[in-house]
Amino acid sequence: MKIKLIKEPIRDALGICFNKGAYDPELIKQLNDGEVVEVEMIPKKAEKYVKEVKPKKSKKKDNE
Amino acid sequence: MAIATQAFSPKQFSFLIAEQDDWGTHAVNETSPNNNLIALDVDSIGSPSLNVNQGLEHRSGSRILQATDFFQDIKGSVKEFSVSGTATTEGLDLLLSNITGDASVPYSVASNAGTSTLTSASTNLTDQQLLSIVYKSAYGTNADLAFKDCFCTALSFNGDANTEGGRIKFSATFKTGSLAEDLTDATTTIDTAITANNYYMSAWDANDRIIAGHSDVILSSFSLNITNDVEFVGLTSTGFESATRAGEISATADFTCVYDANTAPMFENFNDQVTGASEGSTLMGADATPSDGAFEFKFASSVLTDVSFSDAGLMMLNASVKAVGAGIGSSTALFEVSC
Repeated sequence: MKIKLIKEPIRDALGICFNKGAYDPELIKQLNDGEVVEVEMIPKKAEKYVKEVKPKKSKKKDNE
Repeated sequence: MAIATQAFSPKQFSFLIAEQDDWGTHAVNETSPNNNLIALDVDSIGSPSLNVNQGLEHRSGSRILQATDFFQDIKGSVKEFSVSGTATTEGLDLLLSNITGDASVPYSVASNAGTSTLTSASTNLTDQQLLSIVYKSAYGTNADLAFKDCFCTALSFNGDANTEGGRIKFSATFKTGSLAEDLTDATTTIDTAITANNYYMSAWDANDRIIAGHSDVILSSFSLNITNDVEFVGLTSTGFESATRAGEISATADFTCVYDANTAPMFENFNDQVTGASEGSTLMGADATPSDGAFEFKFASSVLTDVSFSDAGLMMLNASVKAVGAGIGSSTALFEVSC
């Protein structure tokens, strides 16, 4: 899934992980810089910081 | 011979440690460099466990253990020493450096740390890889107990807001596979006396008190436990000739904190932890990075190993965490401790 920041920056010190494995400070930096990031999960404690970016549905034109 | 006219208080004894540069040469006998013997601020010096190998079985042919049946060996024994007391700077630097194998603050162990071996051929060591220990006796004449080639194998810290104002205390365990240097050592000089460089839990900021990603916890007490054991092999006339730190290097921490809006989610997060993922960092510090001169520690990645209620005047929460590595090939720190 893809996520982006919705609130204040995520503190590096919290060590929140969005992927399996250990803490990835580069991913947090990308989020805090406003980038949309591909991740494996949104941990509960991170729900107040980020939201999932769902793919936009393409609208059919009326005359088609 | 008449009875002795003087007895001693346990408080008159001292526990001294020093960096040792050459395997087999106690720090008091080293001249270049001349490493200081530092007094640890211990509550009690305890007693060395000499762990001699004894045979007390009577031999066939008799129902009595004859004096000739008695067997004792001291070469194949691992001696252990445990002390506890108040954490002060000078001694703590030696202990943390020895158990982590890191020469500088913050003392840390990398996620990809391998084994570390010292042998009887190891000389000119630096960075507190080997320690010498002296139990300085109150009886002033040839009664100090001196041990060489020692390793700190377990180190723990604890603090309680309701005890001594949250002053940080420590416990340490040491091991050596070498013969005792001298159990009738002449009066040893203390080079560095106990100082008043105390550390306190009160130095930690709210938003830098983090348990597995849960910040702003209000702490009642904590303990930090580090282990890095040593295996001794290769028996010689002077004891074991090789020592390797080969077991798991681990860092765990236990906390008692107030049950509140910041900590209540711990139950759910403990239950819902994901296999293969860190739950978050664990940090106790005045800022986000453990730094020289302050007792602070950080697990960059950690998992919750227990969460439970603790009844007290307030509803409290017990939380336990364990540091987890960033991958077997990663140089990212498993844990960092500063003092």
